Amino acid sequence: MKRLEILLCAALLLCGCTDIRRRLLPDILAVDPEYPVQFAAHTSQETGIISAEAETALQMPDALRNASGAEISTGHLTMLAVSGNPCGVLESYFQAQMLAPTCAVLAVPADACGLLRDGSLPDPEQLAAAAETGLLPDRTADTVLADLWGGSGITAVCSADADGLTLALWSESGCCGTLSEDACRGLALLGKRKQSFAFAADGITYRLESDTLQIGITGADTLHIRITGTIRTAPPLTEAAGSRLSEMLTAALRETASMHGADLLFLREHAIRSGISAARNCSQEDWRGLLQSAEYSVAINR
Amino acid sequence: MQTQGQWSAVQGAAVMILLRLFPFFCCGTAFSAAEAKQMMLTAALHAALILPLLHFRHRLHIPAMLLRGFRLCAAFEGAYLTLRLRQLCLQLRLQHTKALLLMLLVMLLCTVSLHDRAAARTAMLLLCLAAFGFLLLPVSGIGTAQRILLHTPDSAPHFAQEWADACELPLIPLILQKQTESAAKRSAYAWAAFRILFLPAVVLFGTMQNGRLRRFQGNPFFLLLARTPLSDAVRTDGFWMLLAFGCGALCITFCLQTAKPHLHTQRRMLAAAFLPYLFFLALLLLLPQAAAVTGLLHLLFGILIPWGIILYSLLFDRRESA
Repeated sequence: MKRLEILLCAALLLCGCTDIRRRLLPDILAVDPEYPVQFAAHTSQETGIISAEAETALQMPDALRNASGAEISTGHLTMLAVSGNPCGVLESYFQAQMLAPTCAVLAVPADACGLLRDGSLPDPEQLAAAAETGLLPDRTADTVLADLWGGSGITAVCSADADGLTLALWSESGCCGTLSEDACRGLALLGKRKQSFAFAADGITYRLESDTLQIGITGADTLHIRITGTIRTAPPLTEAAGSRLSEMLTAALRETASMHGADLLFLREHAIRSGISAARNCSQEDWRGLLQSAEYSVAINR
Repeated sequence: MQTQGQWSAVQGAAVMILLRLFPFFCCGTAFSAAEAKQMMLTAALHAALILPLLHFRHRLHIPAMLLRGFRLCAAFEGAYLTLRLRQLCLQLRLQHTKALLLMLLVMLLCTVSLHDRAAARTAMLLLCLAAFGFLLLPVSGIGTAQRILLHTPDSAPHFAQEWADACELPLIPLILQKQTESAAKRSAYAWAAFRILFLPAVVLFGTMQNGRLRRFQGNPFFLLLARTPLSDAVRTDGFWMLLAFGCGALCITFCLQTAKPHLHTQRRMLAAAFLPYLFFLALLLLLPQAAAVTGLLHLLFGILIPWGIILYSLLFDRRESA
């Protein structure tokens, strides 16, 4: 029995051995989902970009392995860039557990692989910085899919175009629109990721110190969405600064819920909490319709 | 007074808790507030049916015929937990599931032949590690928890799954027999508190993180861990994976130790435990629908038979005294 124990311990210790030189850990992956699916991966271990193509997006590890000669481990991806609609690729990678939930997602209009090869894609650090300074809300793989699956079937994905970073609304059928800078800032203000939030009004820069913003929903046939709460800034909030913040929050509601029926602010859960039974039982399409017909208001206390 | 060979209160509680914790690690349905509520109600029902057994513990003498049934049930439990371990490997997309299961079988040959106090001591150690991990969980996840997600709609029934996951139920009457009266009482109350309060609280915390990711087909507990890293560089899933496999190995070992009759030679004892275990394992692998009877077995061996023995003993004693 003792020999068996020694053999077992040795087997347990050795079964985890792997040659680290034969394993690549990409940090940025670009996917062009049009047939044939193109992949480009950046790793910190190699100087060049690894490029490959396959019939489906899920064949990515094998395709990149054949191109590089090394085993591909995607658990350390920090950014996934997809050209066109990112929903399908993201969903299949998430279900296959190929990417970490905290991986940033970027949608580009076309040729994500070419942009990665040219070095024209924004860094994952840029996306993180934009979320931390309140320019964009936090849109990692898990939050993108959470809104797609659990909200009204429309999600927001960070998008890079000629003007820089913004947010685009995507459903499984295609792009619904792009959000303005104010709407992005409004969503960031309502999110939890921001570490600092500065804005200008009347030539003065205000820095957010604390906020107690809350969403409330009332009504039955026509929903009324209200954002209320107190915001403290340095220097103290003036009327002009308050209306600037209200503009951002109103833009966030108008451009997501009102224009497209997108639920990025847990509106459905807020409605269920308020006892609105339609929100509990309706389909995603019906919920979208209810949000589009909703009224909304913003009231900020200083 | 605890004597040599008897289990302490902590050891008994640790084994009971780990037998429930391991199926929780392997769960495949998304966390929701409705699940936490049903989990709490089922646990309260189990506690209401199990805790009064303590009062009649001295009457719970399992006859040899039924003891054989309990041993078979323990072997089935071991096979069912092995199936759950395999399911966990598949959920986590581990590459060498077959090799791991083969090694588990070799390991079981070693561990099952040990005295059952070895399993109890290991359970204490694993429970301490799990407690440490659960202490870290809110530290890493409190910033991202959204209380509003507790209102995420979920209409899926979880009651039957709760019965199937309560793997400790048929083993509790046997664990209580290994302890002194006071130790048994404390173990049972600790187990009840864990099931009624702690586990639903973890599910609620998971809902506050994963609420909208209900369509995720993998393991919700490991999704929660992946979404709540301690820092940008430190994730705790490796620790939990080791802990989950440790719990699984320990629970299967304990089931097989319970399935092992007292015979003269070690080989015969091992054969008596392993043959039904391997039969049930093959049955569950070939016919996964057979796992549906697990909840019924838990009800039968955990509640109906122990209460039947006690009621019979009470009635028989009354007749004798009359």
